[in-house]
Amino acid sequence: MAVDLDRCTACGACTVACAQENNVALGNPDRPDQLIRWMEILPAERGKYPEVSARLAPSPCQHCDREPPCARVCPVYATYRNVEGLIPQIYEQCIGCRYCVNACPYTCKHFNWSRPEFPAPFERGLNPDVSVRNAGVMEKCNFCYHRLQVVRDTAAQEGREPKLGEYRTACQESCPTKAIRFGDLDGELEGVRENERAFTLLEDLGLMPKVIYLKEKTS
Amino acid sequence: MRPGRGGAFRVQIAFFLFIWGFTFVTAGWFAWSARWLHRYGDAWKPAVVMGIAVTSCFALLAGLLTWTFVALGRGENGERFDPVPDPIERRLLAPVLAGWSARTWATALALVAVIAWAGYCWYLQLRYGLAVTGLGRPVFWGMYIVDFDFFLGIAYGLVLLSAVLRLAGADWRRAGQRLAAMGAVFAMIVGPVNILLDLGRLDHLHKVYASGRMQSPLLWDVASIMTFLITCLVYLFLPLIPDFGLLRERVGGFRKPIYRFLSFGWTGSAAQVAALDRANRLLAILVVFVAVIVRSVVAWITSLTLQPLWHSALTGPMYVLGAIFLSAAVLALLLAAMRRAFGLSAVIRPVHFDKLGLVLVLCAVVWGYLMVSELLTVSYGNEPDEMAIIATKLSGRFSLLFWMAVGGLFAAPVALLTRKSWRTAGRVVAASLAVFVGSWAQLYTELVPVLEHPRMPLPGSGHYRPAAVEIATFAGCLAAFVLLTMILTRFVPVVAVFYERRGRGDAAAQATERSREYQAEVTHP
Repeated sequence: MAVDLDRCTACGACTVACAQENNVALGNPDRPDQLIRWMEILPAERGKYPEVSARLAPSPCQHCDREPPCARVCPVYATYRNVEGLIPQIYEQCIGCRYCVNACPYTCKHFNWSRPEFPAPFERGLNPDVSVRNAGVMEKCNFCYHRLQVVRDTAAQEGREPKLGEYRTACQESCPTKAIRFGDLDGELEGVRENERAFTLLEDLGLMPKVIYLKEKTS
Repeated sequence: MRPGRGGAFRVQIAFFLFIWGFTFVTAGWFAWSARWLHRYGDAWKPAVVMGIAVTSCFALLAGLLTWTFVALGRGENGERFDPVPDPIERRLLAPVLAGWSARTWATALALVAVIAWAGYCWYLQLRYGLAVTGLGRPVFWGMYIVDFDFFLGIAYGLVLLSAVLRLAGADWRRAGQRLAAMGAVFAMIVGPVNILLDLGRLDHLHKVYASGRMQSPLLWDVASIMTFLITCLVYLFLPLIPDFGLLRERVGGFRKPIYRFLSFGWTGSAAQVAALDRANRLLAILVVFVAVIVRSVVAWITSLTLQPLWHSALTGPMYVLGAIFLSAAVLALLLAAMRRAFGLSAVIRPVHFDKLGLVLVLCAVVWGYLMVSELLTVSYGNEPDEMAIIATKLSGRFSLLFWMAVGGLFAAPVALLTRKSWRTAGRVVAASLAVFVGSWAQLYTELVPVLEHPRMPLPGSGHYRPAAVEIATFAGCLAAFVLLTMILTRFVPVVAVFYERRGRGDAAAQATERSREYQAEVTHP
């Protein structure tokens, strides 16, 4: 995934689309610390009042390419790096110890503190391709993995290989400025890592996240 | 009649089959895990390494027990163990032989009420989820994990301290040996309950065994808790055998057959005494290794992550020292409580508090050194992520707890107990209370501030404050610890009668022997 911060307006459409796509519950407004949002806008403030500037960056799970810390510590294989390089989360395998998120330097996983509730009419908008999680398990962005499965199934039925750009995430589709681009870093996004504006979060930890940011252009 | 034969004998055989069976099941579990890990292409060597470590520990224990009990069973030719009750025995057995007073019942009921309250809170949490706790993002671990570390520190420390004292041949250890083992077993029962409280899906706990990932420090923890609980039970049980033999002769009614079964045919013959001594000595060596490793495993859960301040090699040694420190305080408190409750001032002497006070001062000094090492290393390096956390400890949100830890773990023991004449029972108890509170505060300030400072600027993240549920369950755990101790002290003497009596006989001879050895060195250059 590539996020062009020069195009991003921090409108939050990706957050909403992600929650809608992945059956993320609204949450309890009294406990903002227990809220679940797989895709978030991280505010990084710079300077002190009155010379304040804020940089905002959409941030999903970073999908570390090299030894994801969450997968290293998971006691039951509920999270791991799969052959495609994605880091899935198996809700029915998770025991809810929360070690993964404490090991994650990005703290980009979420815990179901209580049973998710979908008051009317939200229950009618549930995505049938995505399970509703139980209370007590971890969850996180999985790059809309269910969509990859749909793309594969469709391609198999039509007797062809999946096409480039066919697998799209909800945040990518909802982004009005096309700041979020998604695809194989060796396919659709080839060369994005070599872009002069490219950087990743906490690069010095050497985890090689697969979310590549492109910083703002300076005029 | 040969004691311990008949129905009890069959139960004992069943017990042996169980412990050997348990050993083989454990070995089989690790082998099976290694096999499927290998088949699915994940790292299988950790399973083999852990399997060898845990299984050899169990096999040693099972072998030790078998060997000891076979030796005890052969002791029938010795004289019947029925000496005339001496004053020490009368004093020590009084709580076991007497009934429960109204005051004891009242205390027990109060403790049961606290436990029931905690149980109700657990029910609320099971019903509404962990949302009822103060936990949230980014503080995903809170008081439950602190309490778990705390109780396990008590268990590991008590066993480590008493085994080291035994190996060092400290005469004064005898009064505390039984209490240390008792406290360790109960802390070992109460501590892991906090993990059950903390888990989001308690009903998925079996997955740890069914599909455990051996590279995860949590699996190391599961294996080490399992190992240590069994080790600790044996560590409590073996020295109890002579006292069970004594109680078998002293009590009547429904308790007599129970004591007869538990005494495993103890008659007090020289061969039996020698066998039991050998077993106790070997066990003391084993538990020192096990306790140090398992305490470090608890520390490694946090220190093996990449988080600032957690990711420190000092955490392991700090936890091991902290466990000894905390357990010395708990042992002093237990000794003082037993002395007061059962009027044992003839057995629990000023020397015990003097020596435990010395242990506390020594631990305080080493703790201070480790703490300064940590603070200096971090603050000289001046890394922003780490400095932000250190700042909240020194003067920010966590300063009260941090300075409570410093006060309790360094200032109080040093100020109260440095001189020999200061180390009276009252001062040692006061310092122990400070260490008790300080240890908890230290574990809290090692865990929570790090989590409150995630590297990324997370929106909507709050501060952690323990909720009523977490405080209630901690109170329940403490109450359960006290209640279990109270109950067991009514069934076994709090100080080992056999060892205390023998120690008194041997002490003078051993002292003479030691002094003769020193002099021999001087006179023969």
